[in-house]
Amino acid sequence: MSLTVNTEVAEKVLLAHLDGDLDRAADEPLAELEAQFGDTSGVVLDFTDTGFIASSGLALLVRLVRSASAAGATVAATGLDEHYRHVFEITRLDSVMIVTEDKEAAVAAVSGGNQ
Amino acid sequence: MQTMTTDPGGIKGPAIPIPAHDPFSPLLVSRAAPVELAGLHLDSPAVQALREAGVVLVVPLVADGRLLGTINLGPRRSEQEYTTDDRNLLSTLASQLAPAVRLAALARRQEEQAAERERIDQELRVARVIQQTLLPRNLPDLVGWEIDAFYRPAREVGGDFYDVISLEDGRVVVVEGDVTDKGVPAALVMATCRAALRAATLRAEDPGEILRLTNDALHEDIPPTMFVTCFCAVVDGGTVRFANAGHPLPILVANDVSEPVRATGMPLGMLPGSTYEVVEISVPPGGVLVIASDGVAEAHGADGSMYGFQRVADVVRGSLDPAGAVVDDVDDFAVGAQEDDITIVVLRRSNSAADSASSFRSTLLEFQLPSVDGIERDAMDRVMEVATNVGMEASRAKKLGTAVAEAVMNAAEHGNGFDPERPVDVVVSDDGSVVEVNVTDDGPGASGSVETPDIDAKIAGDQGPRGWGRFLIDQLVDELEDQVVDGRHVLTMRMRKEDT
Repeated sequence: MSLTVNTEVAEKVLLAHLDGDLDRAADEPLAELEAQFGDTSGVVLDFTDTGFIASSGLALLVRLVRSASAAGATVAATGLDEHYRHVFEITRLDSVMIVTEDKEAAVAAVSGGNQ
Repeated sequence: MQTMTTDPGGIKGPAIPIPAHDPFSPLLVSRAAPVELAGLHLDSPAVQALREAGVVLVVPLVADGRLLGTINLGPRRSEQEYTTDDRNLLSTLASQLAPAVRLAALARRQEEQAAERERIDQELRVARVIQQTLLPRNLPDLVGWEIDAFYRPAREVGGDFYDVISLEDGRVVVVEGDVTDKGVPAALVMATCRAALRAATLRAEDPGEILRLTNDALHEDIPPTMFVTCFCAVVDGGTVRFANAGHPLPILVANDVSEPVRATGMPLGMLPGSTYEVVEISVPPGGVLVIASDGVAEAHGADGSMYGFQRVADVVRGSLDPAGAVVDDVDDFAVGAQEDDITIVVLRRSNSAADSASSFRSTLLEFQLPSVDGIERDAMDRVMEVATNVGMEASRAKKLGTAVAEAVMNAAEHGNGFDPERPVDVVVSDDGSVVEVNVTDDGPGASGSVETPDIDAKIAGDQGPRGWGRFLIDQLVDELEDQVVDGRHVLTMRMRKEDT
């Protein structure tokens, strides 16, 4: 199922809800998301409704973290199930984004960093 | 045939049948117009009955040369005769009514036939459920042996069953049976027989005695036209003691020779007081005993010939997966729908403890995917489903599924260059404790210089963002192996069902 990204902005935090599969076909929707990084201090990726994350999807997340970093924003991830938390651990993606239990913690983690 | 009796002149009472053999019936068909009973000279019980009921005019309903019914009229209330106009009106009415009655009768018959088909389907479903509920879900472990079983019901479920029962002293009783008849009656007798066998194993240790007790219990309970063929073995160390109640002869394969082994006895449920010869055989390490139901030997080929037990013996000799080899060969041989249940129980004496894991690998799933983007999700879902079905822990199945998704993607992209004409082949197999997945493509395989992905280097831009696939596979599965088989690259992933 192709990826749909729904965003909302609250106090310079961009909250992105990723609904669908994160594979090669997610390139465009994620590029559109990265284009919104301009004036944000933090980005929260909500994986609650993400079905499948392929390695091509991991590569897109690396690109996303690089874009965020260039914009001076921190990235947090929430809603990952046990399996993908494990995948984030073995790829060490969890060292370049903050993995949290819930959305509130994710928002708190990326708020107020670079005002 | 239906009749309608109108009530103009106060006629009461039930409809009066006009049987086809009554002479009045052909007369009504040939006239196909209102018939006045007053002027009729016919030796007909039906006419007699109609007159007694006060009927004076009978209007036949005829369609396609068949009498569908009649409209019976009593005298007019005015006590005058029926006029020509009256008769014409009644004729017109009957000619329009007859096709409608015919149509209604056809519709009703179709409904009845549909209901009958549904009843038969329902019965088949019930029989299948009974049978499959009673087959063992897991086969017990027996030190020094591997036990394997294959069962596939025919559409019209036959009465095959098998059972493997662990005795308290560590020995194992292996049973394969076949109830005559099909469908629900066979399934019910099978359930009775299985219960009687299980009860007998509590009272007797000897296979002949187990069958004798079962026969006596069963003879009381089953219809005289039904009986059960049954093979029963007690496996202990390297010996198998068995008795046979008329079941097809098991085949012993040892030292590259395959031969049927015989023990005599009447089928269960036929005669009270039957006794059963017990035969003891010694099975050497690597030796195999194959018990195949008659659905195997009696499968029919294109020329009408039967598959036969000799062919079973030939196929199992030298095969590491005897049940799979026989089933594949029967499927190649037989034409049309499977006529009878096919059941194959295989007892294999281990060569040593070490080889027990790999020698009984059976294929769970095989499929082929075109080398295009997006096939990985389908591959993942299918592998996860079969792995879970054979008892793999959910978290491990998900890891295996993710690894397979990556492997399939690598095969399509790097192995086959995203050429849709070149397929990616996936084979999933199980040896009881480890699920193995082979993904085959046309490429040369992983090159020696695969870069280990490093997240910091990737974030810094020193490494490309991609290149996770192979790394992930390696991290997610228990074992990973690259081979070139027949010029194609095969990536083998192995995953234990349980975390140890």
